[in-house]
Amino acid sequence: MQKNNLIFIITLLAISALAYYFHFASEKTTQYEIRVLAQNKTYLRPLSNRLIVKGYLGESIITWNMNDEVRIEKSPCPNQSCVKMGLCKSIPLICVPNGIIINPIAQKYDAVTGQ
Amino acid sequence: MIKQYTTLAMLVASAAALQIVESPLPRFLPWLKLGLANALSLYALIKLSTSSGIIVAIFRTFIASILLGTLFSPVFIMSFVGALSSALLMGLLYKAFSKVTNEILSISGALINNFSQLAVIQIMFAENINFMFHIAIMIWVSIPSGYIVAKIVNELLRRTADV
Repeated sequence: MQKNNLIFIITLLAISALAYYFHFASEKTTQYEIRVLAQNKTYLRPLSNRLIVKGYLGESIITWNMNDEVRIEKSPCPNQSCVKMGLCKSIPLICVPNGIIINPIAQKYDAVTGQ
Repeated sequence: MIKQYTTLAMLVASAAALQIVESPLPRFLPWLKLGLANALSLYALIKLSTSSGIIVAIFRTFIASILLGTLFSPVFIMSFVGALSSALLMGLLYKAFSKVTNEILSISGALINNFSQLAVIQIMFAENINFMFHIAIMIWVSIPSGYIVAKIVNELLRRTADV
């Protein structure tokens, strides 16, 4: 490998490591909002832990597990990338063809009450 | 001139074919993919001209989107913006730095391609994307994919040196 390439790759890896550090240093969330572009609506976690929403292509099923993690269980999109991505852990989960976005919501805890 | 146009047309067709073949492959994140079609934009940029590289990027996204039935959909916009920004950056680097290697060009192209697609997602859909996390992953994916694309381009250039 050429010296220039090596320096370039090492620089990129250093930036990546820094970005990863800042990601984990930032606050974590267990709350998610589900945006459905076709309906221009936003949903929060239902009591049943299962949400069926109608996107551009059809119905998507979104489920939560016991650890407050969320995933798209079923989607009508052709590639099924959103389903294959599995659980959403503090990062957005986006189904572009069906227009479904699962966004983590930053939670601000009160230092006194903890709420 | 006709020879150059023929080569350009063949590159556009091949790039569109590669993009179509690559589209159904599973991805970990919406903007993550190998970007093999980018190899032909880079090849056109080096072998023909900077504008040829940009033309390949523009036309291949249009042709692939027409054949995939995604023209003017969000997927097309992501693909178009990614390919165009990648070709523009690679062209700029190629013009600005005489000693830049194909590996650096390709990795930079892959990075800006992924980054601009993420920016499109941010503008069109999500408002609070965790950029730090995505940048970290983006770099890890762009390095091997850009390196593979550069090796393909090097091999293409070697095999077509006398053409």
